[in-house]
Amino acid sequence: MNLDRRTFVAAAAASPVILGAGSAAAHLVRERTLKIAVIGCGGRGTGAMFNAINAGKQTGCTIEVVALADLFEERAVRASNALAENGMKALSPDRIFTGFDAYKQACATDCDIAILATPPGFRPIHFKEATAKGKHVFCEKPVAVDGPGVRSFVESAAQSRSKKLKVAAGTQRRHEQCYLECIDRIQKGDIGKVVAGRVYWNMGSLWNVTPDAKKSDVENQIRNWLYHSWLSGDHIVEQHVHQLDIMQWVMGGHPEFVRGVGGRQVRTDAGLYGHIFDHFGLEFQYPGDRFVFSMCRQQDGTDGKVEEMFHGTEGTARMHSGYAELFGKNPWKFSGKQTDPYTQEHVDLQNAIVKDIKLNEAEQVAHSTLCAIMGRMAAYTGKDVSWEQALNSNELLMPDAVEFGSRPQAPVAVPGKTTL
Amino acid sequence: MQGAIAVDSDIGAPAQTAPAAAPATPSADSATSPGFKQEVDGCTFVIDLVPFKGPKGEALFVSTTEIPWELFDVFVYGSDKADGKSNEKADAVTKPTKPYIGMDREFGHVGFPVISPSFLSCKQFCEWLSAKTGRSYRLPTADEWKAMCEQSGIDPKNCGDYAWVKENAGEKTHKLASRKADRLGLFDLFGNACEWVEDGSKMGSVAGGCYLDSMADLGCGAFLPCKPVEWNEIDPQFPKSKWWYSSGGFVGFRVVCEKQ
Repeated sequence: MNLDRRTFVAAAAASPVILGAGSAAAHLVRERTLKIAVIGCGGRGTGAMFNAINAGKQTGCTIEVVALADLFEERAVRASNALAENGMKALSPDRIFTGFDAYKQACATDCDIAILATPPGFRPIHFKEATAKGKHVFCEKPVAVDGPGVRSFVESAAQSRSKKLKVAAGTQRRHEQCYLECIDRIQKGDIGKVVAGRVYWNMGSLWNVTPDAKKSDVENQIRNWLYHSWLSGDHIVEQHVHQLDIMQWVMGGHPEFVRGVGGRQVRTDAGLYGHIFDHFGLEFQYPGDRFVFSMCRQQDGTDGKVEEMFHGTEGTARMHSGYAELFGKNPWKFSGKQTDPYTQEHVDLQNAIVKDIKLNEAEQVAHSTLCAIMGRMAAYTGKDVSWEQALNSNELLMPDAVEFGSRPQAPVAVPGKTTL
Repeated sequence: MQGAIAVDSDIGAPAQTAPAAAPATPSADSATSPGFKQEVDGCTFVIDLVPFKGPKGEALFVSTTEIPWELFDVFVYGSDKADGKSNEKADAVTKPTKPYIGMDREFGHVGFPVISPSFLSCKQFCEWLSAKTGRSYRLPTADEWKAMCEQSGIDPKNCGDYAWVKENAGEKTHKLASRKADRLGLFDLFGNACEWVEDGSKMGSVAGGCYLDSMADLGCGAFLPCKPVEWNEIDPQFPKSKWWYSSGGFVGFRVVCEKQ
């Protein structure tokens, strides 16, 4: 039996001898070091790195960052400097990897966990590589931007499970106490049979980077990645996937089809805002004549709403970050302290690795991502889009190989003319 | 502030002016100097300012309400510029980043106090407001806030008619001016959003307590120094925002002006 180091430690940690109640077990757990590679060292990737380090204080693991990878050298160096500024060691230059293939070099190190936090279009190839190299993964959401990307991710997810690797996704509400308690109550029937839902991420615009004429199209688009669907999937995929993940969690299974509208009324400057839409309104149809209405908007000066509501035969559930409440036959309100879900998702991942607890959110987050992609497809085309159509779609937004150079901006979709 | 108000030696001391049953009518001072209204080009909200005496007896003006979202949004998102209602000086003021999450926590937006901006954000707002209006606006100092508090006539330990606090707020902010005004004509001096004050520190302090604080913990001299780590705990980015406190959905502010 050929156990590599990671498999051995997981198996050892799962042994009743080590996990027993005695102090020796606790001692062994505290001795555990988990090595981390960060792939994508922007604000979120660097934030996730520190979330993992802080999680180690709760799990008893010593977290060692062994590789930093980013397309742009200054990002990876900045993350390394951030370690030094916060009492840890900066990485030596041979552990800082840059360029489009930096992820391969990071995955080739002795890291235990790969944090995947680049723009989402790259996620499927990064997850495939990390899984092939036998790494546990923290994977930011969304995990793909098109059907082929979802299929690739789901395939890698199966391999990850078969290798007994652990995967936590950046759909952090799955690790937030108020959501866990509320949805547990919903699933136990506290609002009766759930027949409908309403989910929203409505707010103003986000950051953007003005293109630099001295840089290539590809570099400009990557630096302004929110506004190009080959990188972000559009804002419904990049942001609203959080609510669609809650929709999936509560409704179970997956939608049969989605119907919807969308457009681009406010952010019309292609130089600043690429080609994505600034609003979507969708209806996801689930089996059993159940449906979820979904709305997302990024328009300045409009009313904000970031929330999920579900309607059952005996009540209603309402949730948003730090808040959950049930109304109706079994009223309840979350009264605990708001936990930090961004640290908790790493606590859960580290505990899963050390104690060999089942945790692999890869397929789950891929399916939530597909919900968002099918919503985008429905709004872009004006057609009802089934789950199978989206999953089996051959629309390839993310090319197999990317390099700096010319890349004309995609046209703005026109419902009725844009095809699936 | 999630049950954590730092107190100084004044905590528990009664307000120096008559406590409880403070009349909602303007004081003699404000009758002689009734204050003024500040319109802000490109925003529908008009700031109402009333006079009070600073710690050395100097005449100052303070906004009757905490600053609401609809005014702060203009600052953050620059809709005045888009509408041709800005000016070069105001455009040059460094603005906060646009937040990724809904900073209003679903409590309410238009007509509700802004919550979550950092001390830096609010100082920059004052710079912007000054550039927009030609008047000089700033945050109150801690001593000024204490002075207006003492002139408010409110007993902080019994301020439920005047304030949205833990006992009556239902864990959320409420519309501006939806409780009684105090003797100066101010709304929500206690409770609702707690208010940034200048205390000489880089990160600032807050005063007045918020919708999460009990009346028992409030006082004119009770100031809580900023807790940037705790108040930004759930910001998933690094570096964490210097403009917004993701876990600080209770900090807001009002503005003072030295000359009408």
